[in-house]
Amino acid sequence: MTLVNQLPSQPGVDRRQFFRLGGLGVATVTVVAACGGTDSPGIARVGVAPTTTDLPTGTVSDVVLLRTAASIEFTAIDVYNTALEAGIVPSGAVETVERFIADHTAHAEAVNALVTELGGEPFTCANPRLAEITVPAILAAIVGDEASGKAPSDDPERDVLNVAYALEVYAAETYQSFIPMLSVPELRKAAISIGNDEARHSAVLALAITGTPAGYFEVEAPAEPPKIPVAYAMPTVFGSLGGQTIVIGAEDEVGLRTSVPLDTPAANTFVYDYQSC
Amino acid sequence: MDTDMPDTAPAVASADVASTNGLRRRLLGAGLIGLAGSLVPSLAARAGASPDQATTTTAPPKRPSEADLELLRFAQAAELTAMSLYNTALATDLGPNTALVVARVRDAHQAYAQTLSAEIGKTAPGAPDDALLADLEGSFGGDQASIVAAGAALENSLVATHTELLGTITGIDSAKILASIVIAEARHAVVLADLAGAGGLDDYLLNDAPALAPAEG
Repeated sequence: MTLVNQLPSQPGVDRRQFFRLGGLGVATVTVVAACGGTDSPGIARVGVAPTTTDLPTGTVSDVVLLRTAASIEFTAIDVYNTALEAGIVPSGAVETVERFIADHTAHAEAVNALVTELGGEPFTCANPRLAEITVPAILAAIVGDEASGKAPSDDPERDVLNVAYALEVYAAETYQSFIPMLSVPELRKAAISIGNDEARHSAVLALAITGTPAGYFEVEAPAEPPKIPVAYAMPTVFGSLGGQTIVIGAEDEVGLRTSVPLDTPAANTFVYDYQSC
Repeated sequence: MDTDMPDTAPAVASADVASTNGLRRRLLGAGLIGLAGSLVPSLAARAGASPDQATTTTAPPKRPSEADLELLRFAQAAELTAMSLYNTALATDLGPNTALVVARVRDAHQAYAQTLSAEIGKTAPGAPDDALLADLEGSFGGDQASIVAAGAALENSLVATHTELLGTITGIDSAKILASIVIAEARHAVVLADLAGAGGLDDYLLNDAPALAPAEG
């Protein structure tokens, strides 16, 4: 028997009524609180919450697409220059890489000229998302990263060429993917003119990496998928927008190399009006 | 190495760029800047648009207009012409590797023609451009070296042609198809240039081929 049961019965307020009155009181307070005025339009919080700042609104326009394209040109230039400075470009490919740097520089200037004509601000540095996430992962896989215990690549020259191939395919995909998003035919023509150059770059690199005729196209699918994707000059019948995975670096203890995804640019890779170098 | 293959080293190893490359590269750069400059008049009206104004523009049409269809019919005929020319080449004595490449490129052009046919509908020509076929057929019936050189030139012409069409066509669906074809045909041009014994990077990368034009009338 509990203490409550031992209480003497009082007329008008028995134990059951006591609980009813308590519940009614809680409900009344809740209703009053809900109906009362408040200074804050937000959801009720417990404790003191800091004032939030709205994220800037990003509208995908011709200017944003072209600034994104320029940023990818600068990403390629930066990666090529980094590889040249690190001395990990095969000697037979140095001239090709220097040529590609010149081409990407010309592309960036042309694209930024269009940005200016459209009233936008030219973008003259590497793509922020790629520079923050993708490029560091690539460099760590090739030159190693003591902090994460990642060993340097067993073949940096192989990796540099595969990265270059992937970047050129990515650049071609970028321009192709922007075609339906650009608002006028003149801009589409300008974009695909450059995409054509990038596709040629990728094909030249495929011939250098895989050799000829093996590097022309896949004649027969292998029984086992290769551990490192094979570079082909004509990888697909149509220009693909499927993205790719770069496989580079040394094998780890279970025989796996670093995989870096490189997807066709989307909203999180675009360079919006409010972004600057 | 198969005996039918021209002596072609990998691209980077054979990248002995000719002495005129600096000039050609500058011309390429100037061409791109010129392309940007050529857009100034058409884009001038948009130059002062604020971001808010940009969001209110009308979305481009998805389906091709009547004018687009006329150009797409020409594009399909050009693709079928290419397919026919490669069939002519395959009837000659190409070595196994070259034949493999030419067959792959021929099949690709057939796929492009079929895709364009689906986009055009019942008014698709479904036949090559007779005048173009007659003009080029001789180049695809000679020896292997001349055939692959003619193939590279044809791919470059088709790239230039579809690029020009993209500057006119308004329908988004058609533009997507043409763009994916341009990217693939640029790669065909590199492979065929390699088979033709490309000597330097410009042979792979530069495209100064004129665009094909629809016959008048």
